[in-house]
Amino acid sequence: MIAFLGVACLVAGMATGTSFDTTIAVRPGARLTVNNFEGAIHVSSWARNLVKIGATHAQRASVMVDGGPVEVEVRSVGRMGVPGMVDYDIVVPRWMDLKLQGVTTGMRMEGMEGDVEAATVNGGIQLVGGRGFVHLAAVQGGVEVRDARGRLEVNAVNDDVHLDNVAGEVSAEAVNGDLVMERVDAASVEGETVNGSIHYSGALRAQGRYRFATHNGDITVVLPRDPDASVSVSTFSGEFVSSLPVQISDTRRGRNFNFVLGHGAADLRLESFRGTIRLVRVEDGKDKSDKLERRAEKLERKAEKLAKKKEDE
Amino acid sequence: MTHDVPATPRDDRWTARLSEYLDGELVPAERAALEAHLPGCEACRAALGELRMVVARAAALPAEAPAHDLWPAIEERIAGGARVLPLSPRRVWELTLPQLAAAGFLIALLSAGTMWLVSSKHPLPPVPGAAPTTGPVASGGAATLPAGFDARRYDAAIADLERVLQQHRAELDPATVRVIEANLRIIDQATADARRALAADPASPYLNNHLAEQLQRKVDVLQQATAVVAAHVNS
Repeated sequence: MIAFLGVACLVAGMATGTSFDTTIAVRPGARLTVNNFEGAIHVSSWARNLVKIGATHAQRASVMVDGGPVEVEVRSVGRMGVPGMVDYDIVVPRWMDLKLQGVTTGMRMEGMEGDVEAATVNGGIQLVGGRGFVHLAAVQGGVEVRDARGRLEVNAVNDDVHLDNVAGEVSAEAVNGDLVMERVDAASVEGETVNGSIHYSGALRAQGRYRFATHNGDITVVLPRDPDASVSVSTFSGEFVSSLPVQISDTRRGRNFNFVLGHGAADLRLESFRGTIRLVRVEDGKDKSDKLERRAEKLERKAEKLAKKKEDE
Repeated sequence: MTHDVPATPRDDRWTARLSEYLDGELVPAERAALEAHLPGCEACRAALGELRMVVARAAALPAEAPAHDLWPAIEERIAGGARVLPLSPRRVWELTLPQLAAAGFLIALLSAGTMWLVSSKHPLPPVPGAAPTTGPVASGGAATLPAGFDARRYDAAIADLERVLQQHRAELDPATVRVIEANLRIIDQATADARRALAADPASPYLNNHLAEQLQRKVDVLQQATAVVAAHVNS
């Protein structure tokens, strides 16, 4: 069933017991909003100007779709109070902007080229692709972004943030989790956590600003082959180790100091209250790949565990 | 994609529409435009967060009859030919009646310090009494810290937000509450570490900055927690 949108309307899907399916034609510029209480949201993309919404849901839940000329709104509704579980499988035009909200909801988005905004309380968020403005936030669940370009704001309270092959402006935050940033090409990168480590591997552009800060954790920056940065290091009871020949190359405790690599074109600030701050060469960074792989495996295991938990429920 | 340039509350045309947005009174095009504006406007996001807290509080308030019926006196004045002044057409802020009722409650609950802190992410200011930046880390943010930082303002704001969270604790998923509280404890520990370190080295720009960051982070997490409260209340 395809509903064409001219005026705001409620779109009736093909609802059979505990499943829902509808397809909506949309105009360029339209946006999709999905609001789910419990379950999962999976969004993929295609080259057609159609939004295909599929869902399986608990008996006490139903799906409401509100279509308008500039927005398609999908929400889970409880027949008696809080909505039950709803798993969405949605396909959207690549250009479409997304806004996903959930409470106990895992989210995965693939192939997006529009803005993406997603927030959940319990559950992880995965984004593959993404252009423009990307804002992802999870309280209890990891956040993973791959192959995204644009302005990225990523926040995980109680889990890790993993960014891979991203470009643009990057801001990543956690409270109790690690920040792993690999293959980053950005003029501005900010990473902050309280109880976690930070790993950064990527470009240090001329006039770029890079700041990494943690309280209880180590910071590792894998430097490009010919690093060109003004580096400031701040710590209270931590240590500094560099595999590059910098002026201050010994391990010290409780020091703040600056030094220059190359001509000092980029601004690199590293702050760890009690952890070790490490600068490593790119070739040394490759030696650390085992560690990164272990982290990736850890994230995968978490995703599997979540999927299994969902199946059990 | 384009985003509106962040605007101050006074010149932001959306600020006055936030309560309509919350009430679902905007037409879809306006709603979409406002939602497109929000990611780029911190002031609107903060104001919206406050309004959501107001609505959450309103939902929790018991229905009470007024202590006095005001209508007879009003009726008497009208009948007596009281002069009626036209209302100014200028409308700066609109709230629905339940929001107004709850706003009073919330304003009483949250101190001015809280509203100031949650309405913007401030640059990181130094602790009073800290010496000017003269150390080796003189470049960047630490050197541009504004004067007048008072950690007590953060403490008061945090206490207010914690009270809101505590009052809605029972409405939240216990696992979520445990996670939020565990993370708040982690931040508290970092804050305590920073305070102790500052006591030994009060002139350190890094430590001043670090303390302010921990306090601001706690405000941020508490704001996230109150947003979770709102999500539960609305579900």
